[in-house]
Amino acid sequence: MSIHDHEPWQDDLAAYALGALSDDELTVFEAHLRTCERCRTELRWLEPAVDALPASIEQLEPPPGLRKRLLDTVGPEADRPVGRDRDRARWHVGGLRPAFAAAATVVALIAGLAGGYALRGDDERPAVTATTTPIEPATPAIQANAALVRDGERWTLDVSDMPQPGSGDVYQVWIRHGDRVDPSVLFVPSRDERASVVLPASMATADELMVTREPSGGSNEPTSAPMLDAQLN
Amino acid sequence: MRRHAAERLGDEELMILVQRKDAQALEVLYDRHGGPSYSLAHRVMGEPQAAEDVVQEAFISVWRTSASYDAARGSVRAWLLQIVRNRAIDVIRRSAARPTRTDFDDDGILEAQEAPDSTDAEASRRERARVVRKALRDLPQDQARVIGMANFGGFTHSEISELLGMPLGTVKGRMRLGLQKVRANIGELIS
Repeated sequence: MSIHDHEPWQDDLAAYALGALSDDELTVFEAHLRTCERCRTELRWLEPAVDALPASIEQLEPPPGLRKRLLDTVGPEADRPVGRDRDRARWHVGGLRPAFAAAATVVALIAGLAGGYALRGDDERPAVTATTTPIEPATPAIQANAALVRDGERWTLDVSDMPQPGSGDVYQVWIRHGDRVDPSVLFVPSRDERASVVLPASMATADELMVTREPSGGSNEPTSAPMLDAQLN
Repeated sequence: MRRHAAERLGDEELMILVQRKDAQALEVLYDRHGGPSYSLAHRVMGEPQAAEDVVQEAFISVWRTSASYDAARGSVRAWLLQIVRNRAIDVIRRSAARPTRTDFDDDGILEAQEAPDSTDAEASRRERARVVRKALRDLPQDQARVIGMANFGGFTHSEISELLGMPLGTVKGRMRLGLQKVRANIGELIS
């Protein structure tokens, strides 16, 4: 891209960093950002200025009741492994298949680095098959990259080039053991479309990992077709 | 984990515990960053009850989606405040009776009062705040105003153009120049 091609975008950079683009402008600019290293570099330089702005405002003491309400809300959810809530309904594979069938335009990313999908740190599970579907059927297929990383007993799902779900939605991980599928962690990629998701230890014996788009707060059962599906054996 | 043990951990370590649903870790995070979060929400929303709601929703979101935090992309504090700011802006943009105030470059920014500090970390934050306020105070008022309207008011550049009666290109240019100056003036402090 020449400097002349780049210039029209430069004034939008600050507006983007400040969250001042309209939804339509945001879509167009982010498409440009994916292809323009110059803009990404300038954005990385500008972002600390945006992050620093809250330090400039008057500091207020939050009402004491706010702390109590917050802790009362999270307390009942505490100290239980994510996705293991006993009051959550188990979701069986039989219920999953219609969602797969409904997925439009499935794009296969096959195991291995060449396919854009990597499995590292686990010699016993070298083969992974991943599939991904477009966020919206009308848009080009999303070539999100994903890496399942095992470091001792710690499992992490690293994704890149994965757009934010938008509209207050989140991505949710689902883990299958045999014929049982459990809801697991939620995540939202950062603005540069990356996320590093720590997975529960039960991943060590999992047969399949999936990621779906869900409403804020997650779901007990998937409400959309998987964006990513990794067979682990 | 017990409270006193959690208090000794850094924010990034606390985030790992929050991912494991450790409520003490979230409590310590709130005690460290609840004040700035509430201050930011109050600044954007303009009234206490709405600010409380925004902060509560933001921390619950952190509790339930903590895995989205990426340490490589910045501090936990910046990440938290971004969540608070985005949630507040979402509420404002969905509101039918959206306020149209444009005074986001006023003395509330420029002469902010700091709470007394008792730790090195607080002293460091005060110094950071002082530098950022000076960087904003040194901006031409028209640049500070468009930055404030975007960041604390949640206005798009097109809305700012309309509210201030100035061409869109002018608004964009002022945003860019102003933000570049702030970034340059806080440079070493941030890095």
